[in-house]
Amino acid sequence: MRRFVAFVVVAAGTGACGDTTAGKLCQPGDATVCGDGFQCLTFCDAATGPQSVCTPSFGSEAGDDFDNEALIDDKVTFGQLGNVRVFDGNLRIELSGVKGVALPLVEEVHGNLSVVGTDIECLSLPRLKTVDGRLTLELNEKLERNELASLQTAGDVIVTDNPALAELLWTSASRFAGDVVIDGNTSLDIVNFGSLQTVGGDFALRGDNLRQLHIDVLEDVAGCVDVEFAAGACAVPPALDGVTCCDATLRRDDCVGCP
Amino acid sequence: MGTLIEDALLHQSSVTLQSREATSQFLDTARGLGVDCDPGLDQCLLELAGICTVDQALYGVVDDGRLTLRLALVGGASVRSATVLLDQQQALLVARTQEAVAELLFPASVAAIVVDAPVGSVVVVDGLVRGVAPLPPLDGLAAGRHFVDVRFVGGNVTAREVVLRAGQRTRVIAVPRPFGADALAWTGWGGLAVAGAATVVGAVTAGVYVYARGNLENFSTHYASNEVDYNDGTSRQSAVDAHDQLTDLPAYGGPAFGTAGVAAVIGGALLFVGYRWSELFDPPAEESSR
Repeated sequence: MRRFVAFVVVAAGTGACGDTTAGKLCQPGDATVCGDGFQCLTFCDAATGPQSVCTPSFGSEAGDDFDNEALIDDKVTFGQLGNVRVFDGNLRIELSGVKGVALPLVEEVHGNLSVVGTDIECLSLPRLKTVDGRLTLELNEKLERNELASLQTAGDVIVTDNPALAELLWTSASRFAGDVVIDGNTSLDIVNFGSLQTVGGDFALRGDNLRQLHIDVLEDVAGCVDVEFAAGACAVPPALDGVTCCDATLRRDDCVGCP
Repeated sequence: MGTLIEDALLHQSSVTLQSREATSQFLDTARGLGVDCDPGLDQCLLELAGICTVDQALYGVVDDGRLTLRLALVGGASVRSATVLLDQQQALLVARTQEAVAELLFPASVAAIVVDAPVGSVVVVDGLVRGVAPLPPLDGLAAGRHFVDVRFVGGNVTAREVVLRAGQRTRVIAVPRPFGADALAWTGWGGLAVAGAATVVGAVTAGVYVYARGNLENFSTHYASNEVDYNDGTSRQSAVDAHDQLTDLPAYGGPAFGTAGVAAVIGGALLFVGYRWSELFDPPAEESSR
C-alpha cells in the first residue's frame, strides 16, 4: 500500500522580545524615527564619513539652543549635546575613548570652540558657519579627519600639534577676526582657505610637509604674514601687496615684528 | 498431476485422503457386495459412500484437462461437483483445488469474488495471478480481507483491498488509474518540495533574526561602557547590518513560513487524493448473495 508523507510545518514564532531601533539609519534631528529609548546620533571615524544611526538614549537631549557652557567629555554629554544647533556659550570637546565626534546640526558657536587633548580621529561639524570666539584644535594626537567645510567666520584660529592632521579644507571661510596660527601639524599636507579674504590679526602657518596652500583671495591681513612650507613647494600667491613666494616662504617684508 | 492434486488435498484439514491401494481394495470389496458401477455417476458414488459408512465422500476425476471433484452427501442423497482447469501454474492449481474443495464442503462459509476488469488485464488476488480478464467468478475464497491487483494492458496497475463476507459474492470493478491521478501526486510532491524550501528560507531568516537581535542587544547594552564605539565604522556597520537583518524575518521569513504552510497543506492534499484515487473515485465493491 502506498503511503504519503505529511509535512507538518511549524511556523517559527516571529515575535521578538521587544522592538529595537538600534542600528537603524536616521536623519540628524529627527526625534521620531528612533522611537522611545533611542535617539539619532551621528558618528564618524578617520576612514568613514559621518553616518547617523539610532542608539540607546543617554537621557534628555538638549534643544536647538544650548545657553550654557558646553563640555563634551564623555558619551553621555555627547549624547545630550549631539544635536544642538546653536551654542550660546563656549563649546569644549575633550572626549576620550571614542574615534570621533560629529555634531551634524551645529551652526553657530557664540563663544569659543575648543577641541583639545582628545584622541578622536574624526571631527565632523559640517554645518558650522560661525564661531564668534576662538576656534582651537590642539593636541589631538589622532585627529586625522576634520569636516568644517561650511565654516565662514571665526575669531582666532589655532590649529596646533595635531600630528595626524593631513588636510584643512575650510573652503567657505571668508573672515577670521583674529590671529590664524597653524603649527606643529607634522602631517599637514593641504590647506585650502580658498575663500578667505580677511584676517584680523597675524597669519602664521608652518608646515614642513605642506604641499598645497590655497589663499587665493586673501587680500587683507592686519598683522604679519609668516608662512613656511615644504621646500620645493610653492603656495598660490595671495593678493596681498608686497607678499611674495620665494624659497618656501611667504612673507610680507614690511611687517613689523616678523622674525 | 495426480500427485500435485493429492498434495493439495492433503493440506485440507477437513479432508482425509485415502491411499490408492485402500481405494482399490475398497472398490473390489464393493464389487463383491454387488456394487459394481462407475463412481463418476452420482448414484454410484452415493452407494459407495454408504458402503464406506461415511457422511461425505469426495471423488476426483482428471479428464480433458479438467479436474472434476464430486462430493457425495449421503444424508442428503445428493452430489455436488466442482471443476478446476488443469492448464495453469502449479501454485494456482493448488489454490484453485483447495478453493474448490472448500466450496464443496462449506458452501455457506466461503465467499466469491468477481473482478470486473478490461479485457486483457491481468488479475492478481492475494499475490497469485488468477488469469487474464474476463475471468469467471472466483469461488471458495475464505471470508475476510483480500488484496486484488489488476495490471491493465497499458501497464497501469491498480490495487484494491476488499473484505469478503461468507456466503456473499463481491464484485470489484477495476478501472485504469487516470493520468490526472499521477499528475496530482506529482504536483503534491512538488508542493511539499516548495514547502520544504520555503521552510528552509524561513528558518534561515529566523536564525539570522536571532543572531542579529543578539548582536544588537550587545550594542544596546554596552555602548555606554566603552565596549562598543559607534564611531568605529566597522562596529557601526555591524549594527546597521544587524538592524537591517531584523527586517528579513517579517519581510521574507513570515511569508516563507506562510508559503510553506499553504504549500504543505495543498501538497499533502494533492498527494492524498493522487495516491488514494482508486479508493476515492473508483466504483465501490458490490455485494450480492451467492
